[in-house]
Amino acid sequence: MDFTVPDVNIICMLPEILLLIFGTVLLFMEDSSERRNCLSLAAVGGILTASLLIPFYWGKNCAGFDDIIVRDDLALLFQAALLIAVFLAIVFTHYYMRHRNNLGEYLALILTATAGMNVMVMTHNLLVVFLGMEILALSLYILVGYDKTSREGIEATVKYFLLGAFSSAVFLLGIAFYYGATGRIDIAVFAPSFAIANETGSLLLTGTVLVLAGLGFKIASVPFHMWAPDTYEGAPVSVASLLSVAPKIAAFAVFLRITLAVADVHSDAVLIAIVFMSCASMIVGNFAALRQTHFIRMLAYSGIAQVGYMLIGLLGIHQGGGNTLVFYLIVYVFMNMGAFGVAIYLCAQERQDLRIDALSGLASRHPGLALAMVVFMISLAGLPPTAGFFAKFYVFKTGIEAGYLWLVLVALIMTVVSLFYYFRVIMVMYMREAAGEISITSGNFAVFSVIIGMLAFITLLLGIVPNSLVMVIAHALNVL
Amino acid sequence: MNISSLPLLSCIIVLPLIGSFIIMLCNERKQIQSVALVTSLVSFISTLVPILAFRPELTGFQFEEYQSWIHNLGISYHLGIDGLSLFLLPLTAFLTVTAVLVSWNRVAVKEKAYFISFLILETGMLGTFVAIDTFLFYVFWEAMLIPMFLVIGIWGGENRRYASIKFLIYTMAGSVFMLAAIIVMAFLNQKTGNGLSFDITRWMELAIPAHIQMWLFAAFFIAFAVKVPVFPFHTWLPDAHVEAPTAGSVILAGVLLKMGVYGMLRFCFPLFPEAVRFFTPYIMALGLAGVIYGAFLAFAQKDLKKLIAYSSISHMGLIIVGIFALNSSGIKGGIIQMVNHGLSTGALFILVGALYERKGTRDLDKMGGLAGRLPVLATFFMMVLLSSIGLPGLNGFVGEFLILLGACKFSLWVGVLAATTVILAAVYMLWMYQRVMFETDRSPEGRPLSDFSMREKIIMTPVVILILLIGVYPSFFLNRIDTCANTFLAGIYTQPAKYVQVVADNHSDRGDMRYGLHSTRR
Repeated sequence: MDFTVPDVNIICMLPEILLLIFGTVLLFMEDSSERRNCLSLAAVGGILTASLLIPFYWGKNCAGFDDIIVRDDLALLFQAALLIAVFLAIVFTHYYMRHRNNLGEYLALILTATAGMNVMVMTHNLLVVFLGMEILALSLYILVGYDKTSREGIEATVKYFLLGAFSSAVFLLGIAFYYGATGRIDIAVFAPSFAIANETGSLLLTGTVLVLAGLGFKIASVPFHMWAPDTYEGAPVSVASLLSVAPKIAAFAVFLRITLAVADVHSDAVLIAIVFMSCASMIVGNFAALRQTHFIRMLAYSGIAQVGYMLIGLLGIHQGGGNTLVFYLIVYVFMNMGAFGVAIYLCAQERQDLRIDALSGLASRHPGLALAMVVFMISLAGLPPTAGFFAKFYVFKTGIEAGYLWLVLVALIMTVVSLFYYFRVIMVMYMREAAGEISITSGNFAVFSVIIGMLAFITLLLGIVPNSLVMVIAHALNVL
Repeated sequence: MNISSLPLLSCIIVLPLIGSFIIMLCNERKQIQSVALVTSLVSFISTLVPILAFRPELTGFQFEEYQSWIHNLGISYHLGIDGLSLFLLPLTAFLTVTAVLVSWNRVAVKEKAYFISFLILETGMLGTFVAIDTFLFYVFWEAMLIPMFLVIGIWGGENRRYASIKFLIYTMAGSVFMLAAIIVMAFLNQKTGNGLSFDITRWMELAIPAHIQMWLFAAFFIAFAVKVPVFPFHTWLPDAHVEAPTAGSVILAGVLLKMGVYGMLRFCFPLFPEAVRFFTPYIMALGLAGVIYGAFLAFAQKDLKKLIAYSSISHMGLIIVGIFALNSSGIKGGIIQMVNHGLSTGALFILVGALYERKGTRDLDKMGGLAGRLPVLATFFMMVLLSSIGLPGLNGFVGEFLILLGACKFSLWVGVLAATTVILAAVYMLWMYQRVMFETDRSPEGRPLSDFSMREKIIMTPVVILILLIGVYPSFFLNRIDTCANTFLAGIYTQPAKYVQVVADNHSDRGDMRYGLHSTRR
């Protein structure tokens, strides 16, 4: 009997293994209010170790497990973005959960989720993608409902769990159909199977649509967006910040790999699906955001709209659309986490609820914080000289080159609509004074302020000198 | 170190930005104001340097600076000026100095942010006038919006929030189509083998087929028309002007409105000559409508600021008529009138602001008999007003005369209709002056009024000197404008040797339009 030892190459999974080790250690650390700093530092340490390993993998295409795991440069880029987002989420948590216990469990779950997302972005195997997705989802279900005593929190968890489980099932079913049609579960064979799809055509089509639907849920694009506003609002704000960025990056990585795989063949199904999702997300997201009075809900709808813009990048895959998508995602990490960061700062320091009106007079109380918020809002709205502008410009450019001028025009008009709600935040901060007395809790927020300042600075910097990042991304996608 | 090797234009742009950083570090009102004043003065002086070193006989851009910016996309940091932008730079810097002086000790809240906003605004405006790369132009063009939005929204009048968001949305809504057009232009440029570039000098080599020109022209034109504002797009202007603080109105009327006209001349004329020729009659009609409609509305206003805002619409309409007359005198008149209008309307807003400070109202019905009590203010007011009407010997006459000459050459009837502005402006302006300065005081209680202070005299004197200077010695300015005006004209009337061929081969099943471009020009 033939027995070959599979090529395991444990090295290619080292960062994930380390993340899980750190996570496990966190579970066993003493969980008291005096040790809070140690816990947070340990979690940050895990993230730092994982990110420090990235340069060592760069350019090596480290592969293992019979090439199921391939740590190519694109994966590393996505992982870098993920780790930044997770790092920020941990910092936010540290300040947001100052008066709560069980920080250790919470941080351990974040690290587990990170490991799951890392796996998602570096594999071609749909089953492994599913595995990563489930590791991520299970951690997030618990994190969303972390606040066991709040009614909204429980509602958010139930919604997220039911819809999330449903979408996972849909995704899995999609893989099954796909396997049925092609006999493979590799993303890379999408293309040839589309080329020869005749008698198995409908089966393959169903599979593809189901897989895309599952991913659509993760990136919260219309029509799979219903969970997002309620979940964001009910979850702890620090979890919402993570939720709004990190799973989107991971799911977009898979999306990008699928689109790259089918790029060379005539794949109407995928393109039509993307066009529809993009157009609907932009319209629904922007118009719904107009009516929101709660800051986090507004950010949730704004996130849906942003996904619509990003999807345009996938349409221009021949014109370097992948580059634009990755650029947009990286910028999105900074600007969206920044906006959440300001909100969390207010939660932590002033015990504010997060209605938009509660931001009144922020410019007088915290000029620096308000200025940072202006940068984030302008960037999300896509006005120069911020990174958000260049990201949008870059995406629209490929969209037009790919022949989707009408879609870009829709996007541009929606950008104008979005000004209403992004600038309302600025107006409230600068042009209205706070209604009543605001109690300020004590505590040292120096590090937090510095981090928010850094985020604002990077958001501006990437808008003014985007060249090097553009080059790095182009390199990562070229070597694929 | 050789002084001529300095990147002059970059210095001009960056100076206000440096000033705003220094202000961030200051804490006292005195320091903040002094830094703002010094910065704006230095940058004004630096904008005068190009005038001295400018060579009027050369076509094309001078003082060029080139630096690759975003290499993969062919975006460059490319600056340069020609006769069109030559005088707009000092105008911008000059009005910023006046804006700072007007606000001296007058800002009640958040004065740090106030002066920072104005300096960043200055950077944006100067950048817009010197950018040759369209991407860079767009960045400056949009970056300008945010400080102006804040200036109106934070330090404005009663209804400021509404006015500021209206200003923002109108301008943005116009600009986004320009962004799409810019991307399409870059795409066409690349597809025709002209390389990946956003540089306008490269785009000029492109001869775009007429039917595509129409769309691109329309996209650019709407962006600029909102800014000017051309007649149906003007409704944001009265709101913005009435609510903005005095300094904001000065900059808005003095510089921001000019950007629309500047953009038309810089982009629409050289890039889409055929579309310009095609649309000229319609734009002419809009321009004339603006001239007459604006004048009649100004006539009906009781609020002084609103009156001047509507007179701006009328005057800007005249500039549009001038440049779209498509002859040398019209374009030259339009360009010089941009500077004139900036000076005189800016000054009018300062004077109205001064009146408002004294009387606490801008209502014409509550004024009257002020000439006796405020003789110095009344004198300055008269001079500026006459310049705005176009009295011979003052700057307004030069521009108006050239524009009307151009309009008459274009068509007699257009000339006649445009000329009504002379009568109408005289009617509403002089009538307004009569009601404010002469007659008897209609205000309920007679508050003691103080005449112009030293600070206000210092602000107004250079304005009046400039008004006289351009009025009596216009050839200094016109000589420098001449070459670029002729270049624009030549571009409009030259037929391209051969068009770029753009064939849309429709992959109809995919529902998208791909532009397959087959052969290049020449």
